[in-house]
Amino acid sequence: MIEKPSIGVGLGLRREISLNLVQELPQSLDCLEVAPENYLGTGGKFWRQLCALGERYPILFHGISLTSLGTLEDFDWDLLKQAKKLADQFNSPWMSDHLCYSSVKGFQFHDLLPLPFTEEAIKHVVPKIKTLQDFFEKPFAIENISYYAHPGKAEMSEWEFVARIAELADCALLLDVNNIYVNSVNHRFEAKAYIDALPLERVLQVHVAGHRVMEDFLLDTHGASVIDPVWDLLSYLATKTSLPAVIVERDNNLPDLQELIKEVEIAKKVIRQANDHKTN
Amino acid sequence: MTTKLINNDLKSVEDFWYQVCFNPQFKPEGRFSVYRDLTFNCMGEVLENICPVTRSLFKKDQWEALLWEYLSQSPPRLAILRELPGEAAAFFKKGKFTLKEDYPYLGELMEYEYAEVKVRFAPEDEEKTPPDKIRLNPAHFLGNYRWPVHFISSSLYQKQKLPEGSYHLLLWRHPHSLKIEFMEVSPLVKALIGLLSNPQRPEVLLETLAKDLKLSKKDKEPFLEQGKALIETWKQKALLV
Ligand SMILES: [Fe+2]
Repeated sequence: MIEKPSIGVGLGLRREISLNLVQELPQSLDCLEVAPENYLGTGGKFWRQLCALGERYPILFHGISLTSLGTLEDFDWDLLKQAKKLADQFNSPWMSDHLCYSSVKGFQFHDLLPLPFTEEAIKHVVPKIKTLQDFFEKPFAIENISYYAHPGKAEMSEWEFVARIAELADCALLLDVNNIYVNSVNHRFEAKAYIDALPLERVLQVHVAGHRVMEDFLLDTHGASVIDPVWDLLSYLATKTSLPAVIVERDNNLPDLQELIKEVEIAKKVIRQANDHKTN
Repeated sequence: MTTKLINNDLKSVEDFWYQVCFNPQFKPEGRFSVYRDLTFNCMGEVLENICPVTRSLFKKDQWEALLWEYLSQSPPRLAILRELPGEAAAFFKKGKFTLKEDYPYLGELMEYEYAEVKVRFAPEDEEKTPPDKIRLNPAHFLGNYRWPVHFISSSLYQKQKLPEGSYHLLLWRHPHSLKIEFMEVSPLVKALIGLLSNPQRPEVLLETLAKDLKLSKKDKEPFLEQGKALIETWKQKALLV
């Protein structure tokens, strides 16, 4: 059984909003999500801001190119050790990363590439996740990615692939409802059926909003507010299971902090209404 | 969706993604090309943001050709995206790229631009220097270059006038204001700095240096005086901590 603490709704920490957050410490914010790669082994301005924010908010560490679950190479143990040190220092309740390739043969894509949905891939990834859970000594959550083309022939659906891995590895899920929505449009499936097929008792964290983080230096054009179908999926998910932490992610085209806080408040409202609906 | 392109075993899929992202001759079909664009643009933007002067020397197609030369011959190995320009600089410093005759300083320039990020993100200094000693601020970067990369900018750039020589460029971060300071240093100062990674008594350090330089009694006195004044200035600028 995965323990589900209730942490609340937060934002992905980006350098562009870091100073404002330190100055304003918004009341309605319950937590922050941080990419360990952006802070491990660093000092200076952003590091000091993170330390100040860590005094006030729970920090959830979320890897981008930390684990590359798909690759046949071994983990970068030095990187993992540094990430563990950071996660322990800030008391991160769990660790997470994407179910994908961020590197192959030791070479970094600095992007998230899809695994083939195959039995072989499941067999490969499951022991890697177990190793990570043992190493970090805390739950490990895998995040579903958005993808544009499947490499080779798929032996099963994406949701079956994700569900089987979570069950076999006995790990947690970080569900990105935006990614589910994007994939449901690109690959023509019913987003709610995807959610229905997952072991939802394993969901520790949820992402809503635009596109994934690559790195804070990037100025992508895809930053946008959460669209209604994605709020709708969040609501649907909230009626089905408790959601320990929900993160509003905005990776580029960052509006001012007030706008982002508004989205945090919308997320809270959506979840509250879903819960009311559940109890009635 | 293109599904018939490759086998779905993990070995083949790895080879395939490698080709998509790092082999410019390989032409990914359909939506697979999205991944080539995403990775290429992401890495290109990081390089451009951290090394704007380097970027400004080239037209778009030249720049893209350079990036492909780098990515295909020496794909990035570091998981931290911020460190990518350091990896690229190391590649271009080796001089194995097409435009090396016209841009022999490319790797040095890139490294020098990246140095600012390196210093900005350097770890906090946890050590305490004893009050009677001095030590080099560890949040620093010293680049030793053949080209005066600190004078290159696209508008000032005149290839024929770039004097080859020996340049020592020092950057460091003030521990309180976090401002990045810059100084071009002489070979003597470079040697002095080399002695300061461990805490030293300033008097002892200057005496040793005077001895090494075999200064006469007459020259030694002003050397020690000037040395003391210099150390004081550097302490104020937090080059020494
Ligand atoms: Fe996400």
